[in-house]
This record gives sequence, C-alpha cells and structure tokens, in this order.
Amino acid sequence: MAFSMKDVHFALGETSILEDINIDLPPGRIYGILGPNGSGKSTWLDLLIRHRVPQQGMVEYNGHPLGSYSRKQISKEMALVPQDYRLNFPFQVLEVLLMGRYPFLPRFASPGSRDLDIVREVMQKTGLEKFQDRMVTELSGGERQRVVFARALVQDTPVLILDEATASLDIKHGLHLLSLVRQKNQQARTTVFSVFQDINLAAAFCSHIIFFKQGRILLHGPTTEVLTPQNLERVFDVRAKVYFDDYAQSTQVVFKV
Amino acid sequence: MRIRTSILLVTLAFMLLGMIIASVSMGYVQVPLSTTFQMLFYKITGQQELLLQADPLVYTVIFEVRLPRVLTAAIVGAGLALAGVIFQGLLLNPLADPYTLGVSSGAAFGASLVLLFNLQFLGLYTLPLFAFIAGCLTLLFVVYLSATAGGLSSNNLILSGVIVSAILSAGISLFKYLAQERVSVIIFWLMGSFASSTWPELILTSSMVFLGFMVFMFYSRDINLICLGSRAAASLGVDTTKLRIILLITASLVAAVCVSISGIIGFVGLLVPHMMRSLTGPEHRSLLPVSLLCGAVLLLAADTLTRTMLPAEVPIGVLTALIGGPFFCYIFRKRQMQFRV
Repeated sequence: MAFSMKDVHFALGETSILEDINIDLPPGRIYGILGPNGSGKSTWLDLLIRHRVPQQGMVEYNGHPLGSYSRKQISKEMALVPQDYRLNFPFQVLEVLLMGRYPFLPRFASPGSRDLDIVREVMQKTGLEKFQDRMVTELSGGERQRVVFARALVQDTPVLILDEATASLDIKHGLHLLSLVRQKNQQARTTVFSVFQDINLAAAFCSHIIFFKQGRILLHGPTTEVLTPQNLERVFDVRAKVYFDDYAQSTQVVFKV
Repeated sequence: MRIRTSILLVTLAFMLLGMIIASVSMGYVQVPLSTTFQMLFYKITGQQELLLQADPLVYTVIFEVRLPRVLTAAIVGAGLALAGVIFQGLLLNPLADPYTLGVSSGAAFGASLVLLFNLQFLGLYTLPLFAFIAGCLTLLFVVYLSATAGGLSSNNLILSGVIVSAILSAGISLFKYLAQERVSVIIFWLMGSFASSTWPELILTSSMVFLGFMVFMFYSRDINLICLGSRAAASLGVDTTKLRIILLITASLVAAVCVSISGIIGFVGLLVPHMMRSLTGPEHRSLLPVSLLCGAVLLLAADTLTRTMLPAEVPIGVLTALIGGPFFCYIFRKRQMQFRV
C-alpha cells in the first residue's frame, strides 16, 4: 500500500474536519478526489503530506507510520501543487523551478547539472521556456499556476498531489499538464492524488475516484464502477446522466439544471 | 535588471570601509584623513611610532568617541536591515518591517519604564536589558494572540502586532505624561541617538547581529521556500512552524538589541531589503549579506549627516523617518501601479 489510513480523525480546534477515515490506497493509480466544497478534501491531502497531523488514528506510507519519516524524506517522496500558493516576491521562473530540487541538495550546495537538466526538461515539456527569466510577480494567474505545477514536476517524486491544480488554467494548458501527469503515471508508476471540481475532467483522467462528503469518505473505487447517477446524487445532490463518450473515449457526465 | 551579488557585495564593502574612515575624520574636531589612517593602522598593527606623531586628544576623539559611535551606527543599520529581510520573508509581505510585529514598541515601552522611574540597579545595562526583555515579551504575546489551531498566519501576526503596538504606545504616552520634567529624556531616547555609544554596547550589539546573521544564512534556502506559502514550503521539506518560531525569535532578538541601544529608528529595516531585492532578487542567500552591508552604509551615512553636516544634531530616528518615509511612499506607489496582484 502506498498509503493506508486507519480510524483517522482530524479537528481544527472544536470543529471536526475529517471523521472515520479508513482507506487503503495501492500505488501506481491516479486517484480523483471529488466532493462538495468544505467536505475535507484539501485537509485530507494535508494529512497525506503531513502538513497536518490527525488527532486520532494512523497514517502509513509504504508500510511505515508517516510520523517516522523526516520532513526532508517526505519531500523526496511527495510533491504538492497547492491551491493557495503565494508568489509575492519577484523570484524568476527559473529560480522557483529550481526550488523543486532543494529537497535533494545538501544545505549549502548549488544545483548541479542533473538538477538543471531536470528543470530544463520540465520547462520544455510545460512550455515555460520562454518565461524562464521573467519574474513570477509579472505573470498572469494561469501562468503562475503553471509555474507552481512545473515546480512539483521538477521535484520528480513517486507521489504527486494536486489540489485543484488546473482550476485557473485554460482548457488547452490544463489538458496538457494533466497529460504530462498521466505520462509520468504510466512510465514511472507515479501515484497521483488530484482534487477536481470538474467531474468530467476527473472521469477522463482518473482510474479511481474517492468521494468525500461532510468530512467522511462516502465511497471509493474504480471510476467506471463508482461514477454512477445514484452516487452523484448522494454526494452532490444533483441529477446527472452518466454515459460512455466515444469521442472522449471515457465516461462522461451531463447534468440537468 | 539584476546585478551580480559578488559585485554588489564588494562595492558595498568598500563603501562601508570608506564611510567609516571618512566619518571618523569628520566632526567638530577635524582630523586629517592621513592621521585617521595612521591611527587605525596603529590599532591593527600595534606600531608604536605611528602613535608618537599624533596628538593624544585626537587619539581620544577617534577611539573613545567617534569610532564606537560610527561602528554602532553601522552595526545597528545592519541588524535592522537583516531583521527587516527576515520579517518580510516570514510575513510573506514585502512591505512588512521589524516594527510591524510590535517588537520596537515593546522595547520602547521597557525603556520608557526605566527612564520614568530612573531605574539603575544594573548600571548602564538596565535600559538595554529592559528594552530587550519588553521587546521579546511583546513578541511572545503577539505570537500568542495570532496563533490559531491552524498555525501562525501572516495576516494575524501583522494585525496582532498593530493592536499590541497601539496599546503600548498609549502606555508610553502615559509614561511621558507622568514623567513631567523628565519627559524630555524619554522623548529624546524614543527618537533615537548614537551619541552615547560605548565599546561594551557595541560588542553586545555586534555579537547579537553576527549570531543572527549566521542563523539566517543557515536557513536562507528554507526562507526562500517559506516565501511560497506554508503548504508549498512544507511539501518541499521545511518544518514551517519550527522555522517560523526560530526565525521570529532570532530576528526579534536582533531588532530588540538594536532598539535597546539606539532607540527607535524606523524605515531602515523596511527600505533596505526592498531596495536590495530589486538589485539582487529575493534569493535570501544573496539578499541577506547585501542587505547587511547596505543597512550599515545607510544608517552610518545618516548618522554622519546629522552629526557633522547639519547645523544642529537632528535625532537619527527623526532623520531616517523624514528621508525614508517619503522615499517609501514613492516605492509603495510605484509598486501599486506595477503589480495589480
């Protein structure tokens, strides 16, 4: 199991955010995380990377308690594209991408040729080459999100965690970045966790879906099995039709307004 | 446009050295530059014949009066600039400064207390010690106020700092009111001065600033990551809560020591990091040493200006605010027009 959670509870002060989380997650899959706003999706991702620690229960990664890993070790295992990234300071795009290599560098070392090669490859794949000397503070919202996404790819970890990572991207760049992630998943068996608001994007991209509602995992399983009109109504309280689309070559959902 | 860090470092180091020598020569008793060189050479090499040619008065003026003051001004400038860099990085806000967290108001409160009651049980060190303790206590309280179940947020920190500063300022006003004929002592201290700098104070300040610099450089890369937000920093291997606490305490120590020696000197901690960031970029391994030198040069220049060139000595805190304030407004406005984030 890549991750395994047993009886996990998490609360912020008096407010309970996550309850009764029990789940085993084998590696090498692309997990889509779906659920209404405030259902605990982002907090659950925080538990995966140990940005937050549950008050009760056990989180294991590769068979060992997550608490037994050092911060540094975790950063070599998992990369995160957060929702609330900050780029307030005029770092150059290249500098931000190089930060993705920090976990692998000794404290006072400068990036080596291998690090620069990885950064260059990612820049080329993500189409950020022409931005490399630009300051991140001068970029548009979507361009910044691509920089943050690219930084996580530079980290080149076995686990990739995306928190609505394509939310502010146009459809072309969104699909392109997700296809890069799928490539990594197929070539390097990277385990991917991705929160989506767009259910169709999740359906096309994820092999498995985890549904959250009110701080609990309502159900989870292979996309084709769990993405049903009944489940969508239980989770989101909407009426939907689910069908296989020949053009997209994936399960798709349409909603009745 | 970015300038290479090494070029900037060397330029600033020469400027600082030149400024120190020039500043020591200038003043009511004019000392020729050649004599200053001889004196400094004597101190470094110990060659007695250099001393024999000189007037003993000049020796006293240089080593007992001017050099401590000049070096203290430089080191306080360096310390305030460093603390500014750190607070701005930690608060994710390029417009934050060491005073945002209430450290200086706290230190000023402690100092006013000493001045009001004329406390002297520790001799010369009573005031710096009180200023320092009060500064640190204020910081602890600000951190306590802003800590939530979810950790320390930068907005909360700034807000708490402002609230606590407001309360402390009211307290200081009360002290001034109560002080009656002693009020001038408090007011003069609050406006800042290097006039009474001594060697022991200088050694205390410079060792704290040096210690802080070492700590900041050690964590310089982690500070870069903190600038990207705490979630991103955590996913890149930084223990954000621990790092924030270490850096807040160290930066406050540095700021409080500086305030306790010199009184409240604003804008250095705010302007220097800002100016240097536009030259070297926000990478902290470059930004920290460059800001240290630039802060030293600027505050020494301001102190020399008020000591030697102005017809009457304007308190250094007033001077820096008068020059720095408008300059800051200009930068701030320019920023507003540039980035609409």
